[in-house]
Amino acid sequence: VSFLAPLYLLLGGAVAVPLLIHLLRRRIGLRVEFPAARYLARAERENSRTLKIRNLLLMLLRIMALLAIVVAAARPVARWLGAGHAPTAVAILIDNSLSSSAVVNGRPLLDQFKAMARDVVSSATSADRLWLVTIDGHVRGGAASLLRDEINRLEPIAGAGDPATALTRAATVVRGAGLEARQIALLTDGQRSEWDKLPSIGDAQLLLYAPSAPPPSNRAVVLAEARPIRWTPRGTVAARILSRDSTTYRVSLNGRTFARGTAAPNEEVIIRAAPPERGWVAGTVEIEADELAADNVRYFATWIGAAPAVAVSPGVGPFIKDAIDVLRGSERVTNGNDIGVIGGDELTSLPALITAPIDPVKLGAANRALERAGVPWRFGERRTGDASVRGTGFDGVTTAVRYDLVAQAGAVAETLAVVGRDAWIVAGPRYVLIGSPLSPDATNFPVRASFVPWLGAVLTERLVGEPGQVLMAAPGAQLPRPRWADAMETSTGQRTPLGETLDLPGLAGTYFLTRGDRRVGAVVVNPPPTESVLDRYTASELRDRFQTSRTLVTSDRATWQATAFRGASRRSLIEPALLLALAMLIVEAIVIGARGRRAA
Amino acid sequence: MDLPDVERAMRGLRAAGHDVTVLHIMDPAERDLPSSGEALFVDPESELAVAASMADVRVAYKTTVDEVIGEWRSMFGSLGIGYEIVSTDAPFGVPLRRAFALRQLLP
Repeated sequence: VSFLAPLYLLLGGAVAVPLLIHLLRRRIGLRVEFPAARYLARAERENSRTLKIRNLLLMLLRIMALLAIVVAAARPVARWLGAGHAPTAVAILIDNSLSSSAVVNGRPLLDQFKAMARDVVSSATSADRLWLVTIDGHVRGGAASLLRDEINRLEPIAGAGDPATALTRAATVVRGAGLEARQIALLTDGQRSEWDKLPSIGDAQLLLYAPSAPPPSNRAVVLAEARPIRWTPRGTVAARILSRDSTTYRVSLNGRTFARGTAAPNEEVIIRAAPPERGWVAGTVEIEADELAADNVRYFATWIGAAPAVAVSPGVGPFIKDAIDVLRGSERVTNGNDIGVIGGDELTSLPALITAPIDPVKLGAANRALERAGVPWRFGERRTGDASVRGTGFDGVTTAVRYDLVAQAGAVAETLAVVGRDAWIVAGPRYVLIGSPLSPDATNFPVRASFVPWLGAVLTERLVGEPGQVLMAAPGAQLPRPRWADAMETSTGQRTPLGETLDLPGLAGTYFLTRGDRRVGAVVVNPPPTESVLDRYTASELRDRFQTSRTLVTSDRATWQATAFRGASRRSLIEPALLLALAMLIVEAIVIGARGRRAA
Repeated sequence: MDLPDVERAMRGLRAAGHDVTVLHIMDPAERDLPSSGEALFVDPESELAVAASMADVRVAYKTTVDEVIGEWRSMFGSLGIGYEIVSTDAPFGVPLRRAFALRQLLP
């Protein structure tokens, strides 16, 4: 037993009052003439023993009543006795990840979590401190009524959230409350993929609710991807359905369904298309709704345009010309002047695939042409000798002659291939620059099997149309700001200027990136596929995973409510102390009343 | 007055051939203590002072008074002396008539 307000124990001196009354009661000022005083003296003499016992009993009852009141004022608490709970800092952590929107017994699991969270808030006293922490790590604190409103407004997020951060923040706020009793009340479905790695939560007690029922079977679209990102205008959509049986799917672009089919469990299906849409468009792959509807649709984005018209400069050599003829034969490119494939010394405009000049004498002219075209790179020192090229799709590629690619001020580019530590191919807005002439005596790249596919990808994905990309991210993620965009379109079509970072919405969907008035790319926000796997930890497995010695696990709502606050704190003895005082006063009244009745 | 002193005097009177009837005049407050409170009760004749709480001793006091009256009645009865309580809050004729009617029955 300990006291939260021990100074009030000083009031215990008040027990002297009934003691003094008892001892000093014979000092009576009222004097009454009473001729039968002798009878009174005799009565007292003959009943002195009974009177002394009764007076002593009354004195003891009064002292005990006073002591009980004093103890109550000192706010005693004990771990195993008492009623209610001592002031407790409680962080209610609700797992509102996507999986919590699964419908169980006719209603979303999150609704049950919210009701149980409201139970906890209702059990709080004014001395408690409360916070609501959601699985994405957001923390709200305040009065019970405020938190109740926050709980009512809570919606499932489109992803898995960040359980480790949420737990860490919950532990931090309860630790900073300055109260001895600290508890994190966690409501979760116990999804295995979610509670993989957990932080330490210090000495706060963890009260954990996890349902004991098995999760509902779930079907989900776990892959929806445009391949390639730029369709000219042909392309494919790759999709995969998580399911225990065959599932029908529907693929749409800008809301128009263009393909339907049936996919076997976990089979990657490829849907080929040459749609009439043009520009940056949003697409979806959907299946029939089930208990977890949020993952029954998955988003993708693609750029669709006509096959680029390519002009090949004679100066780049016969190998590129032959490769372009192959691409033209497969209708991936056409003849025209949209994109130039050209030696650096002949460069006049962008977009262009630029090679180093075959003749070293033309190096100066090439660098001047690069400067005029606004390409922030220059050809540097000429290097000879066989060297291996490294980069995706460059296996076995070597160079015999190459020039250093020297970045100029403000150069922002993606390095596609390197030789040693030097860039060999770089790509920037509307240009791809190669550090060697594409002739067999300079590099074996033009004669490698990977050359034509690489050339086709460069022309139809990097240089076609406006520069831009498709970014993939989880809901609520924060990405570095893409320098080729200055705003993001919301789902309602409004444009939000980008800041230093690209803060993504919490809802899944396709969000277009714009530059000026034009769409230049998109961010596709989808939940992580692992969130669709609803396998759960059992309650005991979850307890073992949390690194705290004080973990209470339950799958019962009544136990949850009864254990909230109480489990973490010692219970208050105020009520028992006051009841004891009341009992003493009642007994005193009975003793006095019995004496009065006998006298009557 | 102490009972032995009174008994000795009464025996003398009876030995001298007197018929004696004792009228014990009592105030109701002497039969039943005042209503409540604590006080120092002082006998103005003997200066005997007793501090008491009415509630504490009321029952015991009434019992004691009844015992004392019984002692008086027993002692006077053994001497052939009539004994009657005369309460000051009632007409005294009634107890007098009863006392002397009883007196007629005594030897």
